[in-house]
This record gives sequence, structure tokens and C-alpha cells, in this order.
Amino acid sequence: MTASRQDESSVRPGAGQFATTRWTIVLTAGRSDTPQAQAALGKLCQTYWYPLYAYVRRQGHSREDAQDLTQEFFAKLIAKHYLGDVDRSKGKFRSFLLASLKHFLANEWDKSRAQKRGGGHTFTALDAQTAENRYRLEPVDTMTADRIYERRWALTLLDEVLKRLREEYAADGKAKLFDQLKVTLTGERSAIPYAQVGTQLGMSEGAVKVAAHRLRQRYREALRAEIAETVASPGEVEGELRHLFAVLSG
Amino acid sequence: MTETTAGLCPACLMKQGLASDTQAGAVTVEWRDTQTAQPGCGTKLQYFGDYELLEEIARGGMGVIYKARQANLNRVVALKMILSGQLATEAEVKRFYTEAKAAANLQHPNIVAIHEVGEHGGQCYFSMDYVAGKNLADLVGGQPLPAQRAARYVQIVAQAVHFAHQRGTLHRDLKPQNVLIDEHDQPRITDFGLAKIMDDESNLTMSGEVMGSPSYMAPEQAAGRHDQVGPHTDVYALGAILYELLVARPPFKEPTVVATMQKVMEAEPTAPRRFSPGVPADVETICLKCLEKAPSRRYASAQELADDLDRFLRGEPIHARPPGLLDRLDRWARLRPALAVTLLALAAFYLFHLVLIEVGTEGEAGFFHWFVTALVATWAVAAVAFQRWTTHRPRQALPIYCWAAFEVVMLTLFLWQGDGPRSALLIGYPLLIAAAALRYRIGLLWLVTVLSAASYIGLVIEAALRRPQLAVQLKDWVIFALSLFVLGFVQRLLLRRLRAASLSEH
Repeated sequence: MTASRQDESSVRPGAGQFATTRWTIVLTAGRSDTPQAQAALGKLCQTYWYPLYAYVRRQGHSREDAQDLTQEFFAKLIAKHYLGDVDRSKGKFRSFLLASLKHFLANEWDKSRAQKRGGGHTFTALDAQTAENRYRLEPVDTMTADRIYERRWALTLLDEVLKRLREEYAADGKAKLFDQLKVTLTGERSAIPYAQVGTQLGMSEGAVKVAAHRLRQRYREALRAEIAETVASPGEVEGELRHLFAVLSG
Repeated sequence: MTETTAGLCPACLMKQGLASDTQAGAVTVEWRDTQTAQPGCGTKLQYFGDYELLEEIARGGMGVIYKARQANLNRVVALKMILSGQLATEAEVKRFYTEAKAAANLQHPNIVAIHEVGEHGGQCYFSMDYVAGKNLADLVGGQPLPAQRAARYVQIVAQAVHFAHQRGTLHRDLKPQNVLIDEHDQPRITDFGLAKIMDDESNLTMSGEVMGSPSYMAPEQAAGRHDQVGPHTDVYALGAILYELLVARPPFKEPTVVATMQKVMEAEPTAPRRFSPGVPADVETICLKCLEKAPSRRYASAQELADDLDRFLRGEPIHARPPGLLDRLDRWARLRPALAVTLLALAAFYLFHLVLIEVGTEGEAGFFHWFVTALVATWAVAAVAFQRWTTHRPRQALPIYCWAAFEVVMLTLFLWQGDGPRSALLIGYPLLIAAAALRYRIGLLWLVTVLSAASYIGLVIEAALRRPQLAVQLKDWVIFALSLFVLGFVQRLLLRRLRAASLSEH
């Protein structure tokens, strides 16, 4: 970990935000009860809870159980020192979260549900109805719970990146440009009639091409930055990207 | 997925992150996954194997039920399919077949018959009788049913449940939604979705999973005590159904699942006649007997319940007895232990006070007697009021703090008029400190401790200034005051230990 932290301080520009990613804050703290670690872990959980919900549902838990369970899992995760078990050198948040959930399901859920559960933890505001509606749209297939978790993870991550990118463009008053050009992010450049888009937005064809190029560049940065938030060192970003690509194309 | 990724191929998006600046956009991706971000949207399944799907009837935790036409037999059936990959694990597939197997074994006019169990395109399903008509929940729809009619439905259902029990099958999820009323006004039980073969060794639900609908769930189910689940569990649910038919609401219904389960485990149901006075006393007795917390106090079998309901319908005396006065007192006290103890203690001390007056030890029934009487009456009335306040604000600290402080003040007032720091009733302070610990609030414990010590010292000073005959020596009152703090501290240790124990169980 020491070595990788040194790496972080010397990463190339453009990836400057890697130095203090959320997951490294949590890992560095080595525990979840410092305020910074809590905030960082909280934000991560807020973003990536749906893959867990889908996992739990696929395991056959009822809707109500899955809601309670996901909620309680997060409460426990924040409150308890689960982090002691993470292999700091190569702990990815994605793997850590799933491993913790499995541990929770196997060892704690039965016990805790037998208890009277008053108080009600509301750490992560799960929108239960949305979760269930989303889950019902899941393909009826033979995917295992692990696979559905990884797939949902990858999709959530993409969703988050595109959402943030769109907000960025919208803040500059370029939401329309983003909407028009986002399809170029899939590599289908020829699918975009640049001239036509230019006319619509009052730009020259050349300017649209440049904008598309910039969007792709910015998207790559944002995607890598988001992945970096969930891994322990910048060196792992590439590997995680390849893994998630394999998950989505498999 | 939200609209931001809608329409974009996710694998291509991820691939874009891998592409370097120069090749960006030129990458063509072999992407063979057809499950895009919005799987199955807009495509409606019309046929499923031999079945033509007519309409969706209901969705439950595990399955979706369609009204369907079985083409080769040209009959309308209800087709239950398992929702998206619910049967991902082998255990799930097993549970599904268990469910179907349990129901298929039950041929009874009041149980919906299973026709076919199978799998098509990787999807497990079974078909059963299609019952046109409402379920009991729809039938009630906010309006209570006449007691006779409610009793008749439940009596028939109880017989059918007993039939299933005799064949080793528990329903475990009986609720108004699971009882359909057919065109002949006969109830028919459906959705043995959670049925458990009692002698099935590979019990799928042994892991302590809580299943079923909490409003109709028996306390032993809500507590996850599966070793205690048996025919009496269904008897409880039948009582809950009868309750809902009589008063148009389930015995317990709270905003959240957990809160409902807690009520199921701890609270007594409100008597149906408090909602609708027209409910005959006998039906209420039968209903509440089913809803007893202890399985041994319910009907021993669904048949016994059916028999008692039958007696009621024929106008004969029923066998169930309403709980006696002692039972009811006991139940009342268990729901409000603080109030019960306060009233009991007040009554005991006041009686003793009356005895003393009678034998003349306390002198004549003068001012002191009237003061004590007024004090005890105020204390009792206030205790009832505080109890109401805490009941209405169950999780708030303020009512409890006020109540505790009030009791210290009342005790001090009594001592002030009595023997002050020389009274044997000074034992009341340690008692109040010990009782405060029962609220599991360390803040409250300290409040009562500090208030008690301060009040005691106040009494000492008052005696020293105004009633020298009652004055106490310095060392005596310091010892007493210190003891109060030590007691508070010991209670605090106890609370901490209890908390640690309950956390480690988590």
C-alpha cells in the first residue's frame, strides 16, 4: 500500500484526482469510522447499491427482504470494522462489497433478523419501489447472482459516468450537444451526420467533429476517474476496465 | 438504466475507455450480447408453450400469475410463472417444485387444484384452476362483512386447511388475498406458495428466513422460530383473516414490515367489538383465541376452530371461553409494565397508610392523611396520563424523562410532609433509580440519580433548618447520597453490559 500511495502522488496529470479517490481514503483509514472514510464509503454505497439489490433478489429473497437486507447491510458496513479484512494491496471496492455482502448473508442476516429490529437504520435512502421496478426489467435468464451483480455494477458505473458528464455539459449550456453526440461514445462515428447536427446546433461541421473528439476524450477521463474511485491504486484502473468490458460483452 | 445510457451499447461504452486517443472512435466492437440496457421492454409475451396468455392477474414475491388459455384442452387456467430468474439456484428450483408438489397432492373442493407443473424455455411454471371472482381482500374492501357470513367463509376455509394439515402440508401464508370466492360463493384457498411439506427432510426454509405476509403472520413466524411453526400457525392466520372480515382491517398493520412484525410479536390485538360493536361476543372470543401469542392457547387444530365456528353458526354455545378477569389484567399489565408497577406500588403503600391510620399509629386522620390521599391520587392520575403520552410518542425521550422526574418530585413532596430524611420511604429513591435503568437510557438514569440525590439533600437541609428533631448527622446523609450515585453508576454498568451483549448478538 505504501508503494501504491507513492505512485498516486506521482500519477500523470489529467489523472490528478486519482491521488485521493474515495476508496483509497477508506483503505488508508483502514476503518470506516473516521468522518472522511464514512463520507467516502457513504458516497460509494449510494452509487453502487443497485447491483447489490439485484444480487440479493437473484438469490431468491423476496422484495421486502431484499430491501431490508440491503439497507441493513449498508448500516452494518458503515458501522462495523469490516474493513480490517480487506487485502489492502489489491482490494477493489467491487470485490470487497460483494465479499462483505456474502459474509453478511451467510453469517449475520439470519441472526440479525431473528432480533427485534427497531430503530431502523436509514443510511442509504433506497428507493424501494424504483429498485423493484428496475429489477422487474431484468432479463429472465440463467445468469447467476454473481454475474448479475457484476453486470449491474458495470452498467451502474457507466450510468454514473454519463450522468455526470451530461451534468457537466448542461452546466455549460451544452446539454443538447451532449445528447446529440453521445452516440459517438460507442464508437459508431459514421452513424452521426455531423453536418446535420451542426445545422441543428448552429455549428460548423468541423466544430461538431472537434466537439465529438473532445467529448470522447472527456468521457474516457471521466470513466477512468470513476473506476479509480473504486480501486486501490491507479495501476488497477486498466485491469478493472478490461474486466468490466469482458463482463458486459460476455 | 436511466435515460442517459438508454440506447447506447454498454459494452461499446466500456470499450471506449480502453481506446487510446489516436484510435478513439475507430474501434469497432464485436458485441454479441442482446441484453441491452432495457431488456424486454415493449415486447409482450403472448404465448407461453401451450398457453395463450390472456392477462396478468397478480404478482407476488416469487411469481406472476396470468389468466391463460391452454390451447390443446381449450380451457382457461391460471398460470403461475416464476419472476425473472427467481429460480437461479438449485434450492429455488427445489422450492418451486415443493410448492407445486404440495398443492398438487391436495384434491379438495375448497382448494384450488393444480393441473400441470413444468418448465418451458427455462422458465418454471404451473397451471391451476382459474377462479373467476374476488378474493376475500377485495370482498372486504374497507367494509366489514356480516359476522355470519365471515364465520361461514372462515369455517369452510378452516376445514380445507385441516384437510391439508392431515396430509402433512402447512399453508404458512394464509391471508385474505389467498382465499378466492368462486361463482357459487364458496371460498377456495390458493397460492400454496410457501407451503412446506412437514415431513420433508430437505427443508428449504430452515435457515430462519422469515416468510409470509406480516399482518397475518403468527408470532412464531415473525420471530423466525421455525421449530415452533405448525398447524397452530395456520390457525393464527385463519383468526387474522376472520378478524379482517369482521372489522375490515388486519389485527396488526404498521407502516413498515419490521414495525408490523414487532407488533405481531408483542402487542395484543384490539378486540373486534371495539371497532364494530355489532360483532357477536362469541365470534370475537373465537377470533381472539386464534390470535393468542402462545400456540398452546389457540385451537389445537383447524378442525377445532371450524367446529367452534359451526357451533356459533348453529346458535349453540361455543367451547372457547373469553379470557377471565385475571387473564385480562395480566395482559393489560404486560403491555404497560411501568404504569402497572406504579399503580400497584401506590395501592400497596396507600393501603398500608390506611391501616396505620386505623390503628392510630399515624395519629388522627388530619392534614397529613388528606395530603397523602391527594398525593397518591395525583400520582396515579398523572401516571395514567404519562402512559398515554409515551404510548402516543413511542420513540421519544421527552415523555419518559418527564415521567421519571415527576415521580422523584412526588416522592420528595411526600417525604417533605412526612418524616423527611428520617423516613424509611427514602428507599423510594434507590427504587426509582433502579426502575429508571429499565428504560435502557443512560441519560435518564443520570437524571433520576442526580434529581434523587439533590432532592434528598434538599430534605436534609430543610430538616436541619426547620425540623431539628428530624435532622441527620453529616456522615449519615453523605453516605446515603453517595450510595445513590454508586447505585446509578452500577446501573449504568449494567446497561452498558446489556448493550454490548445485544450488539455482539448482531
